[in-house]
Amino acid sequence: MTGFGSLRTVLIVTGLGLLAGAPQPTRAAGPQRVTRDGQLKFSPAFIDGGRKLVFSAHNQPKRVSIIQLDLATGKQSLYYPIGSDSQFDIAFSRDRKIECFARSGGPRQLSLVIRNLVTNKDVVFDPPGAQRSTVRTPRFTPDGKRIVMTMNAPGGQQIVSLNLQGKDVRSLTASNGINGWPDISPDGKTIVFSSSRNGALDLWLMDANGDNQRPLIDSPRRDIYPSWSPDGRRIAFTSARDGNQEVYIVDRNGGNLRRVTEHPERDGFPVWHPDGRRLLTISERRGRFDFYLWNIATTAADAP
Amino acid sequence: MLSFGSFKTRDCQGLSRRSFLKASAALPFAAGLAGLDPQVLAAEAPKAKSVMLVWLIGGPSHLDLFDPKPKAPDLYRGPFAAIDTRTPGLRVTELLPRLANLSNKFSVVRTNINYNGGHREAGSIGMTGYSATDGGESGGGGPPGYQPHFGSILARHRARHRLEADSIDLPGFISLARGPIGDGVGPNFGYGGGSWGKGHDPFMFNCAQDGKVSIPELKLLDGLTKNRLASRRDVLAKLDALRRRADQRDFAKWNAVYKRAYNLISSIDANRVFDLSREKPATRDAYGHTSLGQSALLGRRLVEAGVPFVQVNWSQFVEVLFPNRDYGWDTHSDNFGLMADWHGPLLDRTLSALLEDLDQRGLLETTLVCCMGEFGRTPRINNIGSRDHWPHCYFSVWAGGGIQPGRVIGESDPNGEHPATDPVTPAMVGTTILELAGATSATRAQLQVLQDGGHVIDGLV
Repeated sequence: MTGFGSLRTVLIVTGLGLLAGAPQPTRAAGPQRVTRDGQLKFSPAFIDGGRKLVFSAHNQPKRVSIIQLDLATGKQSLYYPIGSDSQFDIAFSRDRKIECFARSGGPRQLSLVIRNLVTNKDVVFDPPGAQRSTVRTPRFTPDGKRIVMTMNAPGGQQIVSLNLQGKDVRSLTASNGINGWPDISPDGKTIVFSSSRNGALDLWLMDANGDNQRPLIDSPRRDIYPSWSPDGRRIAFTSARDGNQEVYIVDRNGGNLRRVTEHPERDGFPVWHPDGRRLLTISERRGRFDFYLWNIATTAADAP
Repeated sequence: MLSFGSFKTRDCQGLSRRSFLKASAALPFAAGLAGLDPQVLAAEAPKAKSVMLVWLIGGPSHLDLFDPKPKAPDLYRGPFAAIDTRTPGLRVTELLPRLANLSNKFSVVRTNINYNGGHREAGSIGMTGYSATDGGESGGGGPPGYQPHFGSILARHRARHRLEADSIDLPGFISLARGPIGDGVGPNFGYGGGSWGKGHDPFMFNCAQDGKVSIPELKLLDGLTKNRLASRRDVLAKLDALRRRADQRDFAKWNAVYKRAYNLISSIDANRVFDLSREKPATRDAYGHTSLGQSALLGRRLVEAGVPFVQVNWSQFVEVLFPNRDYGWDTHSDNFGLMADWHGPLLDRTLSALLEDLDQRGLLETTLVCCMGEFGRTPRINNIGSRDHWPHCYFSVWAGGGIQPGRVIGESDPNGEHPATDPVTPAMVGTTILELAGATSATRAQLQVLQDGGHVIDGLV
């Protein structure tokens, strides 16, 4: 077989790619491979100051579970050992007193579970509409009082916020197309998200209350999974702008676009390490999906 | 590696080749073989010695894959960009960059139609070419009204008119899945022999993401070791015990399963086929270390070994968010997130790897690959931001085995709701597959299958 090494070259020849204008990689060195299990995994989040990683994985044939990985020992364990439903897209309040995640199983296909670790009580939010409603990518506001997430809407998806009782649902977007993958700036004032309102999925910004929606960066192909850096100056995201799915970083003003990954297989799901110097990706290498930790070059633009 | 219940083996060293041949002569794979004198067709070999049906159960969205409509209204087009391919007039979405670059190796039909919007019914129609003629739904699992699957037809035909390349060790129709494919309600009726009986069902194997192969139906016989399975006396004792516990119908089923499994475990050659560790690591990597990827690789090995019909299923064994359901491509919920993260890229990788691999081994010319589901999904995005079932217009991908590559057949209307030209029925799909694989109109007439309304798809061969 020719393998995948030739794909990029062929794409240039056939005009399928947009390599001519693609920015150069920003990394200084190769990444550190964090896992070697190769499982399909997604939605990672650091906890405990970056000492642990929590993520969703297809660890059983018919079930998605939330897994906790101790980065010091490499030990993996079920984050929620009890339950037969699929659990994914976990998020944590800054004080770690509350967690939330999407759950599928039972009569509803996708619900949001808000788990209060202090009271040991769950609030389950079922989105309005049919049983097959969608709840994805929840994020806590920095003050821990609300959750911002993607929810289904007639003809598309919108970004909403709700309180910790699963009430007071407010629509932050109301455009045509698909709006999703929100992430909140560390100061809580701005939300970055992806929207197809103008055709392709591009990155947009809006104020925390949904006002002042404006484009951040666009391309003819999808830009999704934005992740705000701990210092609030940069946004990492997944883009297919070069014909293949890679991870990029852009400044919060839309400038200084640079590519982090460059590989003929897929890279995605970027999240920042709490130190702001490293970026975690889920990268497909030789047909397996593992975590890789990238040292971001300490240029003036990337220094935390 | 092949797994029988709780036992795993790399190959069979317990039986001699001679003893295997004795066993296989006594225990033919297909009921249709019994009493027949197979003829070997040395001349006039069909264009497709084997068929690989990559079945995307659940109904993949045509607008989000092979029939994008970027100029359609917002409520239809979806968020994925359309990209050029090597085929003039064919654009696909950005989720399929590898296949876009490989489109000179395959052709696409954009105007498939089905007659039912339910998975079980549409799947049955899609794999048999027929609607039920009577009581298929009310038979309590029995499918008296359903015609046999295209694979059952071809296996029966090849059992009587064997090609030189056809395997004598392996079943003529193999389906790769964890269990009978279907939906949350039950399996598709048209997955196997239908009105011809269970003897014409596919033999089912499951291939996990690590390449381990197992026989799901043998779980009932769990506890049998390799040695015990090789010992007919022990197995019969086990089956006698089962007979006392189960009703006669169950016993007959498992007795048949045992007989077929006995042949497989007895065959050194067969066990080699199922041992994916014999592949170069780069080849296994190229397919992707997912259940779908390794299943497709196993399918290629089965074709190489001379199995006439292999069905690779994107089924419950493939990556899903919803537990204990066989949704596959049934993306009523979060269609666009799932398509972007998993379904699109996994299909792109595995199907392109399969076509490249077959081509580079010189197998594509004699292997017909068809990739499709039972229907498409609603062009109009629904009230929960997703897409529902749509049997009125969908796609199929065709390659090898007599197919003219680099063509696009049919055009859908501006919103992808209905064929604007060239509607292609399930009977036409089946007729095309069987004709290319040597089950000609005369054969089909003799077998009394696919005689009404079907003809080879214009422009595809």
